[in-house]
Amino acid sequence: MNKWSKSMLLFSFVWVAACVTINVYFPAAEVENAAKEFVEDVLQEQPTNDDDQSNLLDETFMRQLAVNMNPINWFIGTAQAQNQANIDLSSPAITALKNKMIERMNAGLRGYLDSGVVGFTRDGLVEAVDVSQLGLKERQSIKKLVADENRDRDALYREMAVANNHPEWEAQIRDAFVKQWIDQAKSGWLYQAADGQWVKK
Amino acid sequence: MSFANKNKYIAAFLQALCCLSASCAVHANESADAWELTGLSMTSTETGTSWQLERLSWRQQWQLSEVTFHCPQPLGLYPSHECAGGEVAFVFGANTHHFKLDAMADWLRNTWSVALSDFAKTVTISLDSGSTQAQVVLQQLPLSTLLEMAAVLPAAGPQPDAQLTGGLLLDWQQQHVTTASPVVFQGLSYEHSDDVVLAELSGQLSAALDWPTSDLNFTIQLDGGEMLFDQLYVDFNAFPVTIEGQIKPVSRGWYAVNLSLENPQSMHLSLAVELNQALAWRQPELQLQVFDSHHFNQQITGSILGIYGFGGSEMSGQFNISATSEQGEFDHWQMVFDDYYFLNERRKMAANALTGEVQWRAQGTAADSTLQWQELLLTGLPIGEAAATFNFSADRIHLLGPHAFPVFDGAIELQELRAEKLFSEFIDMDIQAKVLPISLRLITEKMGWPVMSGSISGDIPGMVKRDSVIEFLGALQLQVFGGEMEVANLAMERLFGVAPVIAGDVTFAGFDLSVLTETFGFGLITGRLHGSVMGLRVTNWKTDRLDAQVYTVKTKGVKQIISQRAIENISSLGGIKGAISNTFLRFFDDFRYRKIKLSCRLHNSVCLIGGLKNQGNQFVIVEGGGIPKINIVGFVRAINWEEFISRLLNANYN
Repeated sequence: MNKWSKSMLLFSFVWVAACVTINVYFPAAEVENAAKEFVEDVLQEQPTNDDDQSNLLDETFMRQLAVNMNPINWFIGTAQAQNQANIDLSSPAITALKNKMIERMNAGLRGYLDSGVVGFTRDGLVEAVDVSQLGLKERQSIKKLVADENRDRDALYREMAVANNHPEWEAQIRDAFVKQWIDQAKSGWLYQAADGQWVKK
Repeated sequence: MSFANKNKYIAAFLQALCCLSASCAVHANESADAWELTGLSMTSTETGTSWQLERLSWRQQWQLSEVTFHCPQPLGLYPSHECAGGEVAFVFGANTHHFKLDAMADWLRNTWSVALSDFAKTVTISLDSGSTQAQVVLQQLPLSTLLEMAAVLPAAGPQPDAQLTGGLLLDWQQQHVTTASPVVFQGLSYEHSDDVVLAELSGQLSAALDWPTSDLNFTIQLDGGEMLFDQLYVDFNAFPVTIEGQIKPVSRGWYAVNLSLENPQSMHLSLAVELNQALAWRQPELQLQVFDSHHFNQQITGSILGIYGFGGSEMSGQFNISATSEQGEFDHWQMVFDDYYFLNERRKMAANALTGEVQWRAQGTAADSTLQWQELLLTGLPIGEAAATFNFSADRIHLLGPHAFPVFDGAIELQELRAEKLFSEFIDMDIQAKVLPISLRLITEKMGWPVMSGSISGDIPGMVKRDSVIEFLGALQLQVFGGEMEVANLAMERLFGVAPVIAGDVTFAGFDLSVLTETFGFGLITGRLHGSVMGLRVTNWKTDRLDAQVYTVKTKGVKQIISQRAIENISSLGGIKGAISNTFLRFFDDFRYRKIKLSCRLHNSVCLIGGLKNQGNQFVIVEGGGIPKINIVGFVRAINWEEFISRLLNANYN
């Protein structure tokens, strides 16, 4: 084998070794966006007074109004949405779970998060962290509240994975939600850090 | 004064002190040798008399140190001694105690009396030479003070507290302590952790302690306050309890403890266990009789069931639970039901007139169990009056012999049902079962669906449970609408939990369209229908997703005819009314067709519909045959599923 052939052979090996195929199967960014949207909906405080018009002409409202009034945005907005990976958030099961979680959040869970009684765990659930200031009956009712919420959250992560035809994504979807629950927690809420310690945001 | 007399007086004094220190084991008639005192000094002046003792002990078991006694009056010691308003202090254990002392001794008449009390008068102890008993009166005595006196307070951590009022009799001759009147306690609180808490308990205590035998009998009536013990919450205001207990030594270091708890309205619980001083326990036996499960559920089990997602359950009737320990701790359980009723509407679970017993052993083989009922509802499946005999041992359960459970007018016949690894994530189930024909009319009526004719029957293959998912092994074969149906990959998820799911792949062949269309009142279509529903997923009893197609297959000897009404109804699915009745074709009752095909891919509540010859948005549902020839062509591919189903199910009302 001449020198040129040897060089070509060596080059071929190097070339082949340098060609590595990386298959990315889990759409992390899209799932994170989907989780972000879901968590926003759940944590969003429901207006207590439908007639509240205090933000009618504030900066955010006016900017939103301008965006919505611009006819170009009607098309751009649609096009952007269509270009995203199709991460489902709206199967009947997910919608039912979300509605229950929103209802529970407004019925009392938010109050317990505000007061530091309940916090977000590092596995995407909630846990009673400090009930020492509560009466015994309320402590018992919090056990039920936490258990109900966690059943819904477990079902949600499963249903999100199934709705996207990838049941094996459940763990990654859960991780995406863990990040969102913590990111969108209000100041003063408790969450569990990766080392298991409870941290006040 | 002789030394013996002096010692007798001091002994009485010591008894009182020791009693205040909750260690009343000292005898007034002990020989003087039992007592030992060191460093005694006495001073008497016009302003009073004082004694100091470095140490006073009894048989080297009980010891007081730094004992000081001061009487504000100058005292004569012989032939009589009397002091009112004296003060005594001593160190017992780690604590220094201060008390008031009234004392009198007449050595000639050989009489004496001692009365000790704390400065707040919360506890007073009286002894005299005419009685072998000390009287102890408690008046709003803080429990913490009593425990501090007894030097049994835990060094750190939460401290129990309560106010005690009542009387005790301490008989040093019999060495017996009894409550002269029930000791009333209020505000008894103790918090071991967030989950183990007593709060503001109130009630009364009667007790008798025999010191030589260490036998203790007590009765506690709890009628106020709350308790949280992990998931068990009790409000004693609504659920008063009487606790009776006996504790006696059985062998070296071990005590037999028998407790009974009773709520007069609903339950009686008895517990027998052997405990040692380190609170290790052995051979526990427990019996719980619930004779009014409605009340018991309202007060006790309701809140626990709520945590497990079964809140709002209703109960009535009776049940008993007993747990004994033969080789280990609570390794044999028995549960007996007597005319028991349970209902949880949200989970579609119910049992009516449940009677029988369930036996379970942790090791070995348990006795066989039998349950019978008038009605059962298992996640919506109604099972009629029947009985089941089974064996439940360790993590295995199996049905004994063939059983037939009536379901509507048919039955589920179980030849074999065996489940293993019940307490693990993966439960293996062997099942050989048949569905004996059940009228679809009865099933659909129960489910609130359009009434269908025909029946359902078939074989049920094996099952396996993994976490919350039950998967059927093999395929479920059913005979329905005159054809064959196969349900493969059948799985049920969170069956008793939130958003229950039923999933599977369904294929069918040879359905008699005339039966099917009659069922839906759709207008007659004859022929044989084949099809599949792949990836079916029903969540919360609503169809979530599917990929379905149905089509007719020409079969020898079967006419393919579609009635005018059926055509009108199929047309109305697309929003067209009077497709035929407005034309001359209304004079024909029915028409021949060559093929019918309809498909639907459901996702996110939108059904992407199709048929024969799909081209763009156009598809053919019915391709006619013969003359007149009628084709039904659809032009809208994406339709709202709910709307589609609503139109399909209500077609007969158009």
